Amino acid sequence: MTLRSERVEQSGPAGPGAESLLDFLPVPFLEIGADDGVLAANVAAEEFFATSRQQLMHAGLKGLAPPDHPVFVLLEHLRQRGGSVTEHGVAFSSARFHHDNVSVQAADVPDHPGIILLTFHVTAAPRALDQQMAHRSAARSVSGMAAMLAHEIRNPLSGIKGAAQLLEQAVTAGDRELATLICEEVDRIDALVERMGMFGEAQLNLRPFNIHRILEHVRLLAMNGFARGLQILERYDPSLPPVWGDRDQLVQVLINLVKNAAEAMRESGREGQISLITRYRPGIRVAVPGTDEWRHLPLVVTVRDTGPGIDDTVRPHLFEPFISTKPMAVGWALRWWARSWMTTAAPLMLKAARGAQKSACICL
Amino acid sequence: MTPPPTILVADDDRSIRTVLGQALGRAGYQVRSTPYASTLWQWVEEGEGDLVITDVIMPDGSGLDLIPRIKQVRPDLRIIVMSAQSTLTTAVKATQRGAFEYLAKPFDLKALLAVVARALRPRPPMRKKTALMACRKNGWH
Repeated sequence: MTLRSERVEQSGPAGPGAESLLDFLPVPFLEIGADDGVLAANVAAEEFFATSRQQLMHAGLKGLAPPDHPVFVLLEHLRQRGGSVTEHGVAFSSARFHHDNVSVQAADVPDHPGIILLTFHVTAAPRALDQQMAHRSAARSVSGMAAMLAHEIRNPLSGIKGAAQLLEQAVTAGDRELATLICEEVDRIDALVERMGMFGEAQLNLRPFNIHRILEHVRLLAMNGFARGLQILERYDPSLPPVWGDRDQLVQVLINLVKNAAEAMRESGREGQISLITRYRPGIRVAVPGTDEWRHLPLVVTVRDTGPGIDDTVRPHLFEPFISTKPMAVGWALRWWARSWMTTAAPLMLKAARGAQKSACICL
Repeated sequence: MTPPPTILVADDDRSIRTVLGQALGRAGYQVRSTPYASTLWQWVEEGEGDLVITDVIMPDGSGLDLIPRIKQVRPDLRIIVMSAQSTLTTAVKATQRGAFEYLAKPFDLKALLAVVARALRPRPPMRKKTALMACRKNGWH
C-alpha cells in the first residue's frame, strides 16, 4: 500500500484524496519504493519527465536516470541514515526531457521504511539571477575604480601632453619626432581610459515608455545598418503595459543584442532569422539590493537568433567582465552587462547551446 | 601700451598649472594660477583677471559651482572649464551654468590657445533691442 492510498482510506470517500491534492502541487513529486520503483507521481512530475504516470510507475526511477546518477546516492544515503537531504545542481536527461540545475529534495518516511519522497525544483533562473547579482556587485567596484582611475590618469596625461607640445616647439627637428611620439602615446592611453569608461554607471532617466516603439526603432536601425539583408521577425504581445525604465539605455542594450545576433549569423554563414518577441510572464521578481523591496519583472523581451549558439566553455562566464568570444576586447556579454543590468536593474537571461538558437531575455 | 590680458587658472594638478602657465605665457598672456577654488573666487571678487580657466574638482570646492557665483558678480568675465571627467553630463552642466567653453583633458594646447583667443575677443556692443531683451530676460527693468 502506498502512502497515497493509505491517506485516501483515512480521509474517507467524502474528503479530498491525497492523490488529487498532490496533483495541485506545482512541484514534481515522486514516491519511491524500497526497490527504487515509482509508487506515486503527481501531474507536475508527469510534465517534468514528459512521461505518463502509468509509464513512470512501470519504468521506476531506473527508467528515468542512469545507475550512477546522484539521485541513487541520495536514496541510499537516506535509507541508511534517514532525515531529509537536498542535492543541488543535478541534471536529468533523456530523449524526452532535459533539465539542468535541478535541486532534488528527498525525505524518508519513518513509518514506512525504504520509502523516499522526492521533489524536484528547477533552479536555473534563480541561480542565474544570483550570479548576475554577484557580478553586478563586482562590476560596481570595477566601475567605481574605472571612474576614479579615468580622472586620476587624465590629469597627469594633460600635463605630459602639454609639456611635450611645448617642447615640440623648442627642440630640433630630430627631437621633435620624439615629442610627437609622446603626444601620440598620450592619446593612446586616453583612448584606453575612454574604453574603461564603459564600466561607468550612467545616470538613469527613468520614465514609462512603449516597449514596442523601442523595438520598432531598433529594428529599423538594424535593417538599415548592421542587419541589412537579414530577416527580423516581430512577435509582440500588443496588450503589454508601458515599461518603466531608461529608454536610451534599453535602446543601447537591444541594439547590442540584435547586432550580436546579426554578427553571429553572418559569421556562421547560415541563413536564418532574428526574432524580437515580447510576452507577459508573471512570477519573476528580484530583490532590490540594499532595500527590503522586491521588484516584479513580468514583461519579457526576447532577442532570438538562429546562429551557432554560444561556446560551451564561455557560457558559464558570460556575465563576467572581460569575457568575450569576440575578437574585439569588449565583447557583447560585457556590454550587455555593463549597460543593462548595472544601469537599468533589468536582469538578462541567456538560453543557448552550441549548434542551437540563442535567446537573450530581458525581464522588465 | 595696453597691458596683456590676465588669465586666472585654477587647477589642483601642478603639472597642468605649469604647462598652462608656460603655454599662455609664451602666447603673450599674463597668468595667475592657484590650486584652490577659494583663491580663484577671491581674485574674481577683487576684480582681477580677464578670463578664467578652471578645473571642476578641486580640494576646497567645485569649479562648476563657482560659475554662477562668478557670473553674478562679473557677468562679462568668460569662463573656460576643463575636466578629466570627460562626460557629456559635465559638459552640459558647465554650459548650462554659463561656461564659455568646455575642454576635456587631456586637451591640445593649440585647441586651448584657440579657445582662449576666442574668449578674449572683444564682444560687439549689444544693439539697443538686444540689450533690452537681455534686460527683460534677466528680470531687470
